[in-house]
Amino acid sequence: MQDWLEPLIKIAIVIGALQGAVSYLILIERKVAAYIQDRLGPNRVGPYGLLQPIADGLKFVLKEEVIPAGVDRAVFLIAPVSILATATVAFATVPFGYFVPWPGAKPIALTVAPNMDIGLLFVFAVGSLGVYGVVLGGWSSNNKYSMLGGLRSSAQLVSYEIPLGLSVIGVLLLSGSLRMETIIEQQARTGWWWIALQPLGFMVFLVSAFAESARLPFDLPECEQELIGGYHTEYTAMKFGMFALSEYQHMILAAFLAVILYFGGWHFWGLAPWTEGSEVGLIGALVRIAVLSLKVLAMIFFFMWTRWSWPRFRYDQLMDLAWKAMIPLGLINLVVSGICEEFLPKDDYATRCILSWLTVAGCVVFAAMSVTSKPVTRAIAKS
Amino acid sequence: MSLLAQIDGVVAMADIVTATKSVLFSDVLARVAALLALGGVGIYLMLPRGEKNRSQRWLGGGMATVALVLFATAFVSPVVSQDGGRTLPITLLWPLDKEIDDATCWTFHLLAALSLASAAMMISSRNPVYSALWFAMVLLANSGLYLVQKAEFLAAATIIVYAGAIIVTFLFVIMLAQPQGTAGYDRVSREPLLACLAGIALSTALVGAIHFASKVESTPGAAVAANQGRGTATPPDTIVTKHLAQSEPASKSWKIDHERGHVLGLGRSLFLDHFLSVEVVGILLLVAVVGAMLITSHIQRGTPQTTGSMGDRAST
Repeated sequence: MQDWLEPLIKIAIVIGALQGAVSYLILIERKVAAYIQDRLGPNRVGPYGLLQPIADGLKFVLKEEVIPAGVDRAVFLIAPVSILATATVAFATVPFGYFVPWPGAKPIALTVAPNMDIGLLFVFAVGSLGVYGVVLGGWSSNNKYSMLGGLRSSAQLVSYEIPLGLSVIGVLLLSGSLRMETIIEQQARTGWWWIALQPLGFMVFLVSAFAESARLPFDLPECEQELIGGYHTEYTAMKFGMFALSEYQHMILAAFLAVILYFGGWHFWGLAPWTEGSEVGLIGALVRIAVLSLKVLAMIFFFMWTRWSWPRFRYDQLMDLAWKAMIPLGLINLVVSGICEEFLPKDDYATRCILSWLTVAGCVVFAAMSVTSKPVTRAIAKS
Repeated sequence: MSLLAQIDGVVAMADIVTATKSVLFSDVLARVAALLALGGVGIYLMLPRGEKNRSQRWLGGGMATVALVLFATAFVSPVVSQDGGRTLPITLLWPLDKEIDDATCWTFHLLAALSLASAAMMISSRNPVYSALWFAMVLLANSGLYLVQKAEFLAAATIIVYAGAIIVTFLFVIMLAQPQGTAGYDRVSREPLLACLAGIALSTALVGAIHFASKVESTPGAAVAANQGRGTATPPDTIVTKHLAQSEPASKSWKIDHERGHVLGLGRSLFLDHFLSVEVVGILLLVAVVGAMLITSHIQRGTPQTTGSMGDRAST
């Protein structure tokens, strides 16, 4: 086989699977919303509305492309492409393990870029480029609301990158590698999911991931109430479709990262022969993909669930949360993880677990104390 | 200082003097200087001066492109090397090396050309937002070059720190500061002539230095002829590779090895060989962060409060 053919096939699979997944995620999102709000949801196109994504996709393609007057044309056209491209490229290192077609054969990596030693760092690097699409779309639209949305969201995305990066360092210390395959294999080998050892880190990661993928309650980039549509107010048809696609791809990526870093990836208890080791046969590969996909779907459902049960943040609250809550918590988690790695034996996961949950309890007590003591100090100061 | 070292130094000095003479009077450097001058004139024509002049800009861009293409592909030496039956004409930059395969060579040249072209566009754009975007493009191309050199961590760090944070902050500031469009002084470049001359001189010196280094490194004899005119030196063995070599080799060729890794080697190098530097940099950054916080809190306290009272200030 040609050297370049294998990556091309993988890239085609990744892009195709992502587009299909996104179109059905939109349907799932609407169905979940309907379920939570006691409605039926889309049910006109096909049985149970299952063909709705095709109708939506046709609509994206067939609607009129409007380029408003006074826009910066080149940047206006580049913005949606750049955000979709970065959201797609980040999936190049998402691992599904290695697969041996027959015994003794060369293992096929079910990843586009399997030998990327920087794994997670690559995802963060590419993810940090997603800001450009937002900020440029807002700026080039020649619309004050878009501009405000772009500026606000760029500040939000840049701010939340810091706690996002801080939160995963604990996992990296535990696994001793940036490669996502190694992180999963460590969890499969020990039987401990890192969520048990890194509860504080997971909390910071989850909040930051919500903010980075601009999901409610952090949908300040496109808050419908104040800014109409935020940075993509002026975008129509497929150009808007690209923004929507990239938003869902960010969510899928966040779910993948959460599952890989904290929920054991393809590991599940009782499936030992397929989840351990680095290379498996055909059945093992299918089991792994199924477990990982189901976990990711559950995570995505959590994202959608949150959307309809949590009020939005105000902008100053959002910034306060990043700089005054998430970054200090991330630092605390980093210090505790570092101390554990330095002073505990390598495989003493029970002590690490107890220590990390004690840290969480301490943080909760501290937060409760500071919340309850605030009115008192104010009253004293006023008097 | 022992006598031996001094003698060594004298010999090295003599080497350097003769090599400098040969470099200065070789026609290679003259051709390179001519090509770089052509590119510099092109850049000079591209730079924004006063009113908009589209044709001049296109002319300058064309000249710079021609100079770049010639710089990579023009023959700098009549020597022809035999490479597995193929005859390779010797150029300054193309092909890079016998050890590097064609795909890598193409990738390198594409990325390098993209980086240089984006840099030219960056300094010649009239719109500061465009300049920032071209700068981001330069950084992306550069991190691609790092990836070609297998410096993955450096590539990711460049993207995260520069493209992901610093240029976004630039964009942020530009958009906040100039909502009405660009100011007049942003549309003209300062001292375009001097800047271009300095650029030509610097790049000629750089190319000459690389040329000179590759000549000194190459062994006398057969390799001299092959290396004549080659602009690239083989990358020196880094500490990272040293650490890579220390870890155990993989048992099978296709076995996935977790012990050997680029990041592992880099981490070992940073925290074993350069531990003190890392700590000093860490303290420096900490001081900078504390200073930034001090400045902002000072500004907040220094602003006159119209309705503030002691109580409000204490509660915030």
